[in-house]
Amino acid sequence: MAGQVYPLEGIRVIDITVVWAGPYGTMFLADMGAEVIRVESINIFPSSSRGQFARPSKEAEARRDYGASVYPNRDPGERPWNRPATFNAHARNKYSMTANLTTPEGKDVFRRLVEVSDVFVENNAVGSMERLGFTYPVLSQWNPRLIAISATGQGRTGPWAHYRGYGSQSEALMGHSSVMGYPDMDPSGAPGSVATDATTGVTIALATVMALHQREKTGKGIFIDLSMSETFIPHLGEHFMDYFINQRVAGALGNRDPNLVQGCYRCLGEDEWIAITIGADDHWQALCQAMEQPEMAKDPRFATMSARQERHDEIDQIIEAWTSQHAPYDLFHKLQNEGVPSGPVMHEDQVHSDPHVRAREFLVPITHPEIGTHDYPSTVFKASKLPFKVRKPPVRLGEDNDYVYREVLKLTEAEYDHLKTLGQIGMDYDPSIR
Amino acid sequence: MSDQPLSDIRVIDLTQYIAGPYCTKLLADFGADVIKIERPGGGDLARRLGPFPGDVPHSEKSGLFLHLNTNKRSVVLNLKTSEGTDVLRSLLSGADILVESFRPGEMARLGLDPADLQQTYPNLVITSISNFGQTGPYRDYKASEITLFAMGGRMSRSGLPDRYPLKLGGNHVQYQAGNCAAMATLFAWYAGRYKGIGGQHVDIAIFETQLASYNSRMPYLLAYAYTGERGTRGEPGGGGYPSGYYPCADGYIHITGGGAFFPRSAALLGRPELATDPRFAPPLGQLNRQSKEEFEITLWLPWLLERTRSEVVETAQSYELLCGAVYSIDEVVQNPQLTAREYFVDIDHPVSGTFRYPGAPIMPSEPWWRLRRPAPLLGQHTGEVLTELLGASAEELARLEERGVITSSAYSNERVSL
Repeated sequence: MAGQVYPLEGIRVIDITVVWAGPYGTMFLADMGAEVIRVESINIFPSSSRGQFARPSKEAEARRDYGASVYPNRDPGERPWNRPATFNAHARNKYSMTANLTTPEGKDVFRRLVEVSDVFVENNAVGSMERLGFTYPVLSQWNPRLIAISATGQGRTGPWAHYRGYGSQSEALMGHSSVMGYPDMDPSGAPGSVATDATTGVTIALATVMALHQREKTGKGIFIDLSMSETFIPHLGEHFMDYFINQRVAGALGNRDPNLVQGCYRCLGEDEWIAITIGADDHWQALCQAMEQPEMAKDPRFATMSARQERHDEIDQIIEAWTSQHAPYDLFHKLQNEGVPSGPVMHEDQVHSDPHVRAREFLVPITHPEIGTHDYPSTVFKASKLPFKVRKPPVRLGEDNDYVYREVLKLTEAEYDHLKTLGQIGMDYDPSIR
Repeated sequence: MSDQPLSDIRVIDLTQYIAGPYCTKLLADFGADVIKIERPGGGDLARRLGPFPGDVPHSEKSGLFLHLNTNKRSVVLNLKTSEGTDVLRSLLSGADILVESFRPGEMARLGLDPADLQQTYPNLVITSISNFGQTGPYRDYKASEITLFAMGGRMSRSGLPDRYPLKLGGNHVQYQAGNCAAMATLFAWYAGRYKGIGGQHVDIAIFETQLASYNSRMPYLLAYAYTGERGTRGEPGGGGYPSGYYPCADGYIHITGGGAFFPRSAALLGRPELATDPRFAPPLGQLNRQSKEEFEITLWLPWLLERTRSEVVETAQSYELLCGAVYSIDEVVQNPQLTAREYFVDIDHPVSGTFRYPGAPIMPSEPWWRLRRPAPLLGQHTGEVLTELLGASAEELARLEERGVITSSAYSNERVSL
């Protein structure tokens, strides 16, 4: 579509986000047209952002478990920090500049950036911004219209404010780990979920749009304290409400649901599975039809939901005896033709070749200057006037220094040269960083 | 007190169950006037799902419904009558956003094809939420929480390698779809409001909200494109050790203390020299399974098992390690952090009574998130909304009610004073 307009064009976002949750949030802002500028340092390597290590060895990557390397062909290459899939999946449409914010010169650069920006997003441990002197009272003096969002594991106030953590620690602390996992096991079997990274990223973007609209009404920016735990607790609403209403404490339910009969059943093939849900009598009838067991459809022992729930283990065995003889996609289409809610556990390769994924153009080829062309996941929604668009490939460390320093911050060449001599400008981490 | 950010937005809400109502709850809790259209008879399906007080089903006492529908107004409208769709169209003329979660094609069958609505209401944002989206070969396929996670999410990597893959807790996939829908809806609305591009149709496929979820799925879909390798279940690849869930004296903790963080773990144990010991040192020592076992059995577990969860967490945190205790729901609701932040809120409801509820997903420096009203009774606001927004007279309301087009709350006259 010609003359495409995106909602956040003209909005500049300062991005000091690390790991997954924060960068996922600014990805949505960048996709929607905001000029998202990652402020990075070539003297500090935040772990698990541009990879776990700045310079992992080829040997270490070769030794990782199957499916565990995130580098193209397991090769960390010349500049490993521009290559991890865990970073590049969110990094399209963003800009990157480098500055050392611990120095007076770096702080001055940051102040000038705040003065010409609209939004500041960061998700570092509580204390990091304070040590740099970038508290909201200071930032809002520099720019009263600045919207600042700080995402942390447990929020910026309270006795646990200093807790460091990824999503998985938040999910342990606020109950998610206690309700997932195998019902016959202790919590050590629970998945290492980082669903909170996903909820936090989306919530950052949601909060930004609300803050921009509110700023039009009030003329002022705002500070938003976002706790990863608090964004996720509503997602466990049924469990919390059951406790508040009935004082009942949910345990690990595995794949079961109190209102349904369902499971994840082994299929023909290596590590192939299908999930099936019997949520109503007609699903059961349809499942019996698909399994070619018409007599079971009439069996009174399975006739009602409560009867089926009482015989859940037995039903699981019957289903798995059938599914284990067939490939997951064959079962999927057969069950769907009969009207049974079902879906294969899709491995990454199956997603890449799936006809529905392809028909909706969910995967989009992007050419990265250092690693070539690959199919990238696009985003969580389609909007008729805001088609997914890649204006810039996943951003390399410091690749926009010239643009930001000269055109955004309008530094003189002498000032820019001075920062270069101080070793703050570059596209490579300092050689001392491993 | 300043206005709530969305106080100038009106939403017509045709959704039910979880994903759609969570989307409109987010909008309503931040100030939008959300008019929830429910069907005659039972209303929202969630009214029939628990938890109920004492497990006794009651359409006004579902904990799920009460949680998901705060700050909304309920209008019971029969969309299977032409008069019903006429009323809906009148409501749309004053609305900014329409959110619906019918199965794809149902809107058209009701005479409410989104493309036609867009012609009549050019500034309206229409958000459709469905399992697989409005197009594509799986459009009409059936799905559930677990099947959507199996297909869209990271289920293939979730659980133990020698056991079946696991879903996540509760209905997170549904809620996260609602979260994504609220974000996308506001992007579209903001573009109309500030960029003058008018309304548009937002298509949310719950399947895709998982495919592009940073709960590991999105990055690892790209990792496959980069390496050609499928992921497996089990230990998160390459993170080193200690990593994951471990027992301690009174329960379990979760820690990310390997790889680049290993020197901190070594310091915690009072053995800083381990960080450079070739058996354990990153990167290669951290990828060695025998070293992992040796570390865990001889050093790590003995230290943990002498300490309680909170001792482990406080100590680990003092070494800047990423560590949290595994708490059960009853422990969460009384933890000192959420208590200090006054996270949970008490809400009075005229039929179900007063309960605590989960609170605001963000804490802005201005009170944006507010409880103006509890979840509505079925049809509680039918008369109010039609009078206020459409200027309907008492006679018109009575005529519509008599013809089965609208229903007012069964509670409106007696048992409850509202």
